[in-house]
Parts: sequence; C-alpha cells; structure tokens
Amino acid sequence: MKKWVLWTAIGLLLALAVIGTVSRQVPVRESQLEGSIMSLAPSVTEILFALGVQDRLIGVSTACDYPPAAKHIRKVGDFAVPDIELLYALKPELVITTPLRDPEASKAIRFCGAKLLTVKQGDHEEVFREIEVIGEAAGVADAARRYADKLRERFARATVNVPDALRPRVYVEISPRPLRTAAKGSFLDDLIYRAGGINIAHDFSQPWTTISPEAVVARNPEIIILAYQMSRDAPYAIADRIGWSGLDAVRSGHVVTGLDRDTLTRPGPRLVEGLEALADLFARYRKGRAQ
Amino acid sequence: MTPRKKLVVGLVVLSAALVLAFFWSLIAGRARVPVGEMFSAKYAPLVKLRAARALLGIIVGAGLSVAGLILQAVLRNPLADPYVLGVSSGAGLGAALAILGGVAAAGAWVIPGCAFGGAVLAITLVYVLARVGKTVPVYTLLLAGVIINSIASSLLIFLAHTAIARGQGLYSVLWWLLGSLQVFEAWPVAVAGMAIGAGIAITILFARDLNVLSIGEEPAAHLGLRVERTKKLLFLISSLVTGAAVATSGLIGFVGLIVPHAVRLVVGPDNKVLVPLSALAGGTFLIICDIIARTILSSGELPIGVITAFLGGPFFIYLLRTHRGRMSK
Amino acid sequence: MNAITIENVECGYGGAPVIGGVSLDVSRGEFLGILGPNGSGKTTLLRAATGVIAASAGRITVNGTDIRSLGPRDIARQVACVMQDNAASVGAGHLAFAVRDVVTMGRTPYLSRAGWATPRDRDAVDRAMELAEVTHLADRPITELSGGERQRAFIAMALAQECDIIMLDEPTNHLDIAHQIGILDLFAGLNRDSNKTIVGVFHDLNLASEYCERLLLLKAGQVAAAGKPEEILTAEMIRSIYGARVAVQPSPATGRPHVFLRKSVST
Repeated sequence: MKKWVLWTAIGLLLALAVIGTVSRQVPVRESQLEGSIMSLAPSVTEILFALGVQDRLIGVSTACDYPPAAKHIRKVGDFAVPDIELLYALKPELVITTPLRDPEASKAIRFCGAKLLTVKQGDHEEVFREIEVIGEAAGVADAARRYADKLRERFARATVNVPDALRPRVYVEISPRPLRTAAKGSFLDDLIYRAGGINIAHDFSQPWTTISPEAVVARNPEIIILAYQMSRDAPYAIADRIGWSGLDAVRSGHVVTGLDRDTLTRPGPRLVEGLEALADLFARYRKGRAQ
Repeated sequence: MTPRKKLVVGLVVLSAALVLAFFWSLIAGRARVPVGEMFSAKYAPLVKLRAARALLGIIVGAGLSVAGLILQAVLRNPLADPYVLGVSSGAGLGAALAILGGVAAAGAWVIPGCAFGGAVLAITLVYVLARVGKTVPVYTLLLAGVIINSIASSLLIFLAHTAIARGQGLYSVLWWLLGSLQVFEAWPVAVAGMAIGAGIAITILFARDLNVLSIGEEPAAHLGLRVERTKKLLFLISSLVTGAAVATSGLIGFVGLIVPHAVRLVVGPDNKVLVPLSALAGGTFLIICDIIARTILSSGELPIGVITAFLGGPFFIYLLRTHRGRMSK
Repeated sequence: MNAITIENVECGYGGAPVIGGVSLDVSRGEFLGILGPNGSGKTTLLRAATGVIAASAGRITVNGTDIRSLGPRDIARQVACVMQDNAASVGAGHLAFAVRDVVTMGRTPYLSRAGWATPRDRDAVDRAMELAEVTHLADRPITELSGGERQRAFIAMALAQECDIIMLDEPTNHLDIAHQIGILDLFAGLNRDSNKTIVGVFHDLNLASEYCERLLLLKAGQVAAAGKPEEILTAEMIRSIYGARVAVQPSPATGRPHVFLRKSVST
C-alpha cells in the first residue's frame, strides 16, 4: 500500500481535529448565572415559555421546537442528553429534563454545579402537576399553579361523555414504518376516550406499540388520524395499502392529516389543544353520521 | 535500520505524539480552556474529566490495536480485527440485556460487567465450537466466530425490536454499539488499564512467537514453538483485552484493523517492533478521534465509532483491493 | 549412538493410526531416503520423528534421548525440517518478512523471549544464507521470490538452526530440474563435508536413488523394505509396492538404478 495514502489520511485526521478544536468554543463562566435554566426536553421548553420565564432559558435541546422562538436559543444537547462541556461552560443554575437517556449524566450535571430536576410525564394529570413542580423550581410557583388550573379547566370542559355505542372507532397512526399507535396506558389513548372516541388499539399491552396492518383492517376504524409529517398525497397512499380501501374510514373519507402531531404525542401543555381538536373532530363525525 | 533501532526511534516519536495528543485533548472541547490556564483550579474539574477520557482513549486504542495485531498474525489474515471471534457481539448482547433489563441503575459497574460477561461467554462458545481434539485450527475458529457473531447479532436485533416496541432503551443500546469514551468515574479506567496493560505486556513477550507463526503452524512447530499452547494463549489475551476495551467504551470499530496495518506500513512486519508501536499509535489515534467526536458538532458529541468508521471504511476498501490483487497473482 | 531410532511406533491423527509398528534406525551421517505411495505414512513418520505429533505407541529417540523427555526447543536444536511448499503459507502481503528475517527465525530455538539476536546468531544466519545461496536476496520480501528462491530461503532457515539432523519432506517437488539438482547437491555436500544426517521423503525414485545411500520403502503405514538403492529399486519391488509396471536400469552416468516408465497405452 502506498505510504502517501497513509500520510494523507493522518493529515486529514489532524486537520479535522484542529478545526474542531478552534471552532465554536465557549468561554467558561466563573460561577452560576443567577436564575439561569436549561431545558433538555421539548415539553419542558413549552412549559417554561408558557410560564413566561423564557428570558432565563440559556439552553435548550435540539428537539425543542415550540414555540418558534425556542429554536433560536442555544442548543446544549439532544433530547435528554446534555452536552457536559457546554453545561460546564455556561453553568446554569437549574437543569430540567425528562428522564436522562444516560443515567450517569446526572452525576455530570451535578458535577457542573447545577440543580437537576427530572420530570416524569405520564398522563395528563401528571403533566399538570409537573407544571406546578417546574414552576416552583423556577421561582414562579403561583403563576404555575394558576396556569395548571386553567389547563385543568379547559381539559375538563373538553372532555365529553358519550355512550360507547356512539363513539367512533379511531386509529391514530404515529409512524408508518413500522406501524405504531398508542394503547392503554398512554395519554393519547386517554385523550381519544375523553374526546369521545374509542381507540381500536386500546387493549394492546404496551402504551406505545407496534400494530400489524391486519389488526387495523380487522378492527375497521371509522376515523384514521395520521400523526406524522408527510407529503400531500399520503392520505391517498393510505387507500393504496392492501386491504385498507375497504375500511370505513377510507370509504367515508375520514383520513385526517391536519392535526399537529405534537399536540397528540408530546406530554406538554398543548395536549389540551390536542384533546380539543380530537373532541371537535369526533363531534363533527357523530353529527355527520346522525344525518 | 535494525529492528532494535527502529523500535527505539519509533518509541521516541510515538511517545512524544501520544503525550502531545494527550495535552491537546485537555484543551480541546466546547468549553474554552486557555492553554496557559490548563492547570489552574478554575478549570480543574473539566480538565480532569477530559484527562480521564483521554486516558481511556489511550488504553482502549492501545488494547484494540494490539488485539487486532495478534489476530492478524495468528489467523494469518490481514482482514482480521479484534471482533472477528465473536467478542463484540457477545459484549453487545450483554450490554443490551443490562440496559433493557433495567438493571443498569443498580450501579455504574452493571453495564461494563454484563458486557464483559457476554464477551467471556462468546469466547468460550467459540472455543468450544472450534476445538478439534486438542487443537484449535484456524479455519474452525473463524467459522465459529462467524456463527457466534450471527447468533448474538440476531438476538441483539430482537432486543432492539423489543426496545422499539417499548419505546425506550433503544437510544442507549445504539449509543453503546457505536462506542463512546465518556467516563465519569476513575475506576473503569483503572480496571481496563490494568487488564489491557497486562495483556499488552505479555504480547510483547510473545512478539517473536507471532513472527514465527506467520510462516505457518507446522514450520513454527519444527522451530521449537509450542504452537497450540501459544495460539490458545494469544487468542485468550486478544479476547480478554478486547472484552475489557468493549466493556468500558462500547464497540469502537476499525481501530484494531487499521492501526496495525498503518504502523506495519512504516516499520515493517516484525512484531517485536510492531506490538509496542501499534499500542502507542492506537492510543494516539483514538485520542485524536475523540477530539473530533467531541468538537465537530455544534452541540453534543458524535459517537466515536462514527469517526473511526469514516476513516476506517475507505481504508478497509483500499486494503481489500490490494489484498485481493495480491491473491489473484 | 544412532541419530534417530524409531521403535515400534504407532502414530495417527485421532482416528485409525496411519503408521503402525514401524521400526527404523538412522545412523549418524547417513543420507536416508523414505519412499512409498501416497498415503503410506511418510510425512506422518517425519512428523512423529520430530515430535510434532505424539506417537500413540512405541519409542523414538534423537541422539540417544527419548523425545518425550525433550521439549520442542531441545528437539529443534537437534533436528531441522524443510517442508514441501511453504509458499502457500506466505501468500498474505502483510506477512512480507525479508529473507534475512525469515532465516533468522531459524535461530528461534536459541533465542530468549525478551532478547534480540546476538552477533553469534547473525553469524549463523549469514553462513546459512551463503550455503543456501540466498545472500543476494537477503533484503527482499519473501513474498516476492520465485518458488525455487523461496525454497532456498527456507532451507537457509533450517540451516540456521545448526542441527546435525535435517529432515526433508519432498523439498523439490514443485521445482524445475535445475533447482532439484541444485538443492539436493547442497544437501549432499552438507552430508559429505559436515557429516550431517539427512533424512528425506521422496516421490521421485530416481532422485532418491542418486542421492541416498540407503532407502526405506513404506506401504500402508508399515516398513515394506529397507536397504541399498540397488536392493530396493527393482521392478518387482516397485510393482508390488506402487502397483506400477516399470523397467529398472543402472544409470549410464553413475551406475545407480534408474526407473523407466512403462506406459500401458501405446502411442
């Protein structure tokens, strides 16, 4: 093998390392910036904005995309994965995240001198409760409580009471490859029921589960909701799936794509909007069927 | 140049490179540490963290390089790497089981411990499968390695599927499979360092045997080598060194394949020179790769396996072409 | 004391023994040739004699000592072996040792684990390369040599072992006639001038006849006959051992018996 190939490769390697070393370095702060917060989860970021403390937010994760202003905040890691060096340099007082992907990272966060708050967001009540917890940690406990109560109110109002026989069968597709949907134990399943529908995958064992196309066909949903980014032709693509053209939802044209996925799958304050959107959708369906 | 002189020159040059790389990694990173203040108290915690990483990089890089070298010599195959005998998939399976079994929280030792256990299990199975009487023929060994790798990989995929279905754990498993030098405690570095250091030291003692084995097992036996015993010992060392490396830092690929070849290109095939120099070169290489992995993105780090693959992939292709060309002659 | 004695040795590879009940004495300074059809156990006998495979029955001594009480290094200091074709084993490019390095491997039985080659070792290597006429190839990678050159390099490696006994396993099989004669002349020289004991396994009956003072004929793992070439190489013997019809005539050049083919198909 030619030696020059080796030297070129070594040169390339060193060049990359040099580029990396000198670019985008962040000076290290002496001490904590008072009141500074970092968020490593999109739902947490939404809550912080809703509570009005976004000015104290000095870092978010790459997954934090709502509200749009969040995209302009410096990125300090991925979803529940902190960049330790940036944390050390920027020295936030408080880091809020959903359970860390790497449990060891909690040591690193404390090592950087920050307080770590881990929020668990299971069902809607837990989401509302965590809003209060976050608010307390951020020093805006009263505002947080008021906000959470408002959300609880909206949530209760949007909840409908409909006899089972009138509930449409609903299939929410979270991803097309593999087919994934929500089942009992997930808050999406709960939202569907509260909004007046019945989740065809309710009885599956895992909260977020894969489902086979045959199972969907067998359960014959009346409404199909596609909760993911897709092209405009996608609803027609659904009809092209083998055997799916016979589904009630397809034949009656109830394949819905316009709902914001994050309002259905992100355990944050906007799940109230998701509930309201679903309730509205199902109500219109019931009315349409009654005619 | 005589082998001895080559070794001395190489040791001086590569040791200097290693030390330079080590200090480079102390000042490289997203948080800016000015060169003059490297040792000040203000930056001490961060510098210590980076130093631990660099140290682990040296140990793992050296270990994987020597392990790969051993296998290339004993299996007499230039395409051999430390993972070819099933160590990697066994360790991966052990780690995945620990991560997905939810026991990882029990302590920081759990994942490395299970990974090493998986590696040992895989090595044992490969040995049992490959044994023919008292000997371990090279071709059965390779075959057994392929078999165990396939079985373990399919189990791993099954576990990954479970993780997807459960909606958790997949990220951790994936990260582990791509390798990372992230370390928050000193003891994994110490343990790996002792194990790998011992392994490399023994290999240096057996360097001449590695040379002799390269002309064939039967000629080696006629020259007075206890071939089977030596083979088994060397395989064991290679596997345990690889297991220790993989247990602490996940699956970092291509290092064990490229570094021995690169060093051999410069100093020739004599293992007495090659073993220590590959260790130093491997350590330096991994530190540089880690610097890139930590700094090339604007936030977060790339798994180091991505960097080594980025360099190793084309190298591997080049190797394949020259090897194939030579075989067709 | 004999160079090698083999008493009632049985030996195999795990299944049925390949050689059974073979006895043989090799005197010092002899040039012995071992002949026999394929599968008669010639190579196995060589391997047993050097201790590479363990005999399941019987006793083998080298220079008077039972080889079971000798370690591989001790044996390697007394018996060197030149195998058939080491070419296949050095195919891979990443094992391209220079000829000098390969010949230095012949000093393995004398080198310590941690040490380097001493001037004494280097002398032995230089002398071996001279004898085998590969000095001019010393720095070439062994993978770049022709078949004949490579075989000479491995002969040099065996000579570097400085043994009194040299075993050859069809060392010239794949080489052209000039190389065949050249290499066997080399061993004949060593035998005559340095009194080295040479034991060679041959396929070519005429080569064996020319160079060996004594021949051993194996069939199906047993000694079928032993004696001088004139006694062994007869048409009847070859017919009964090999199953081939030949004519045997003394060579016009040396008087040793030569075997002439008898085709069964006339053209």
